[in-house]
Amino acid sequence: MLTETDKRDLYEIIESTIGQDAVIRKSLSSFNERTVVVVEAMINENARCNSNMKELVVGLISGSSYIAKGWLKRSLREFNRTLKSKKVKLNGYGCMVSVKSYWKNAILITVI
Amino acid sequence: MKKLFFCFLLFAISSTSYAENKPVDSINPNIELVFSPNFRLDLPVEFFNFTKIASADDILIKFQNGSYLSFKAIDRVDEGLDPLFDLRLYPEFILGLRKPDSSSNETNSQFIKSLNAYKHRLGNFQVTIDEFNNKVVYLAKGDQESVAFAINKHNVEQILVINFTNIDDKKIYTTLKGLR
Repeated sequence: MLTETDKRDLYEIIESTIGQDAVIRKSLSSFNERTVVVVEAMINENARCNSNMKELVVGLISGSSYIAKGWLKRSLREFNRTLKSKKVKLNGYGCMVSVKSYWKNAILITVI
Repeated sequence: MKKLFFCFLLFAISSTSYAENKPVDSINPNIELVFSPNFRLDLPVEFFNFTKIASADDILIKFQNGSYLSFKAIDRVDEGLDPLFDLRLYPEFILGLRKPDSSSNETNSQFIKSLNAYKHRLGNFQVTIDEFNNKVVYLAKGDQESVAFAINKHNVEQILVINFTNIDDKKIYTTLKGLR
């Protein structure tokens, strides 16, 4: 069960990664544990697209725990704070739009 | 309510299309999804049994077992590509069939990074190239995730990207054969 703060943090992480999106924003109240799992997968994949994201993730979560599933749920607040403080450095998604668009759908699937 | 309206709209578009262009086949009724003037999908009504259809940036179809597929038509502007970029090369670059050699180093880098992302997402994938109703389709099949890039042979201004998540082969090929 996500708190309202968790949901807000999760939305802001999504927004920092794939940009503002009205449809996802309107789904915020329905975010759930599955949404967190999908967003974690999105970030892990985005680290292959964006070296700044990779740096952020590795910097926040040290060593082997980076690849341990569930790391985002354990550090939602902290990761969002870090992302917000370094947002400018992300400088876009880093891969083609066809790669990025998959994640919007994957996130929406968790709430319908 | 919005989703219901969207679904109704899709049916309405389909019905209109039949009324204007085709004889009504009451034995094998179809639904036509329109992504852009260059890409449509014509599928039997039964394909949509127990599905949820959502409007996102793309059209999203979720099946009862949780599997889903999504569609997105992209063009050069979406991808920030040079106006002279040959979109027929896009699937070959992004799926690693050919080394990206566009005029922009940044674009080439994005293709390579996108290939790495697909390797991560799809695992060991196999690429097949087929043609369905004048659409050349590059299908990269992974274990659970697959992605297809369709090019209209008569108009290469757009590419239709289809993502399949946990969709079985039968539904994948039914979808691809339904491309118009």
